[in-house]
Amino acid sequence: MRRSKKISVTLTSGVVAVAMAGCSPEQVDISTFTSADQCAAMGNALDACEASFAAAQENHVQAAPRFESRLDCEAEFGAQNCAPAEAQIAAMTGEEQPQQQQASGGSFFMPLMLGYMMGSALAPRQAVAAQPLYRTAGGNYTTPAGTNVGRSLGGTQTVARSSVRPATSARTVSRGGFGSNQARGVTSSRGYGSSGMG
Amino acid sequence: MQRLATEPRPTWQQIVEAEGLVWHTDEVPYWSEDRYYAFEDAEAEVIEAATAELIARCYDAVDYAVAKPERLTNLGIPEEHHALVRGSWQRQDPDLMGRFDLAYCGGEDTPKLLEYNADTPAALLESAVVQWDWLEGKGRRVVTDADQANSVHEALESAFTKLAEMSGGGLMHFAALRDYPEDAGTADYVADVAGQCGFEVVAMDLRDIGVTADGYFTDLEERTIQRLWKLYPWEEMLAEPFAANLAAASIAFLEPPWKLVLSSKASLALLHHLFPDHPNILPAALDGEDNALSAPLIRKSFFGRQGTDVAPAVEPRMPGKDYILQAETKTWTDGARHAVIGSWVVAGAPAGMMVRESIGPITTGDARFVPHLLYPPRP
Repeated sequence: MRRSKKISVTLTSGVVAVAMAGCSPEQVDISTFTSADQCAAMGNALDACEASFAAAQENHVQAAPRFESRLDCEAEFGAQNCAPAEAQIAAMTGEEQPQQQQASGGSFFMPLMLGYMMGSALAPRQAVAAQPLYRTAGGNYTTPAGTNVGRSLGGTQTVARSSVRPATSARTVSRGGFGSNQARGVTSSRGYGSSGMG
Repeated sequence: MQRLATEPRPTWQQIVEAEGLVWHTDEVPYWSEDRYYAFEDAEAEVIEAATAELIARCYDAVDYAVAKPERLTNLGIPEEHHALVRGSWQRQDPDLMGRFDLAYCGGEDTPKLLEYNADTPAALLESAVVQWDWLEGKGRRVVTDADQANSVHEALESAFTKLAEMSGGGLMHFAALRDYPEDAGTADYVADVAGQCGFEVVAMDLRDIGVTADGYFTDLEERTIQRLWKLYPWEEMLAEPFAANLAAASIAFLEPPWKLVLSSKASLALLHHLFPDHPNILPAALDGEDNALSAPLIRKSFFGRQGTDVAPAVEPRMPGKDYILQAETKTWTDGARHAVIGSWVVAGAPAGMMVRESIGPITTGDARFVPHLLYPPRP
């Protein structure tokens, strides 16, 4: 219970950042592939490759940017790189997807998933979520959030963790169902973590 | 156990603020480094041993409580949430931290459990970081080779590392009422530790949690919340609209729902019932039931915080709440002020001590946090 090791504490943009050897990744290693087969061919375990590919497909269904017209989608992702959302999702999940229709009855368009990224097998504790990759009209592979991972797949690179945080599309139907008894903007009274018997 | 005066470090406010302790002074001083408590090594061992013993008895009490619905009801847990609490214990959902408040007068005195802050323990940053830095920057100048009963920070790192290994890491959300600086500051500290030990962390306001049509909780960027550390009491959450979504949700909580058993002060009565002759457990009973307790007694509400709803039993009971009665016990005093030991529990093990000092015998929101040191072992 005694003798904490030496702690060095710095204040980083309003948040305490406590630095301790062996525990501080802000950069993560990612691998990018065209397919689970390529991933396995490059020496990774096939089931890990396939599991990550499936997770990337799921994220694609949720998070791919959606466009009202094929033209808008292709302007960003290039000719031949877009397809109706319904069709893509049905192909992946085998299910009907009525929500993918616009109010006008037309389909949304999404870029095609042309590859995927996952955490590097050499750094499993970095906990990187798998994501789909699209190719832009300019020839770069990007995540749904738009992070550029280069002009070719089948390699490993180091990136800032914040740039590969997965995004999902809006699906919240209600907010504020916890803490709803608590008014905002309280100034002087103490919260739950404040000193006293709390 | 001694209380001694000392000079504050000349720039102490800037120092502790740089460590995140922006709430060092409120309307009254809180962080107080013009004084410190000094313990013998053997006294820290007494506290540590009592803490380890109480942890084990508390787990026994949870196991007992979940076995029958009336026991959970007697703890103030609504029947519609019994399954959540019971299931959490049966799954052995890991717990992260809590803090025992112990009455201890030093030397060979037997520590007595005043209460267990099992859900939202305060004074974490002060304990884990700020008082350690005081020891290195000041305490060791006052007492050469002084130590401190404190590995709270390391224990948190180890706990998060293990949690990340068990769960594969991934995203963890840290929710608090962020317009309270202490709550936000504490959440940021815990999130920082977790983020360095295998998780990707997001700090957010608890009130921004959303829910989807299929029952997933979400943050403001529409990410699914799969792991949530919350600085907010379980009994409040269970009384709020999203409680209806908890049973079906696929989400892990720190602290887990079973901690609510120990967060209710009714668990103090349960502990005495299960272990009536235990040296560290004070006689206690549910107020309003027949009991064999002897005066003087203190009345405490099940879920009061900051010393609210804690008063001598001879005073009138406030209506509308549930109470226990607990035998009064002596806390350390020098005649002018009282001190209560806070003993941290991280991942089920003793992790460090802290001291709070107040004028009256009940520790309230006006209590001061006072750093401590251990004298080096005598040759």
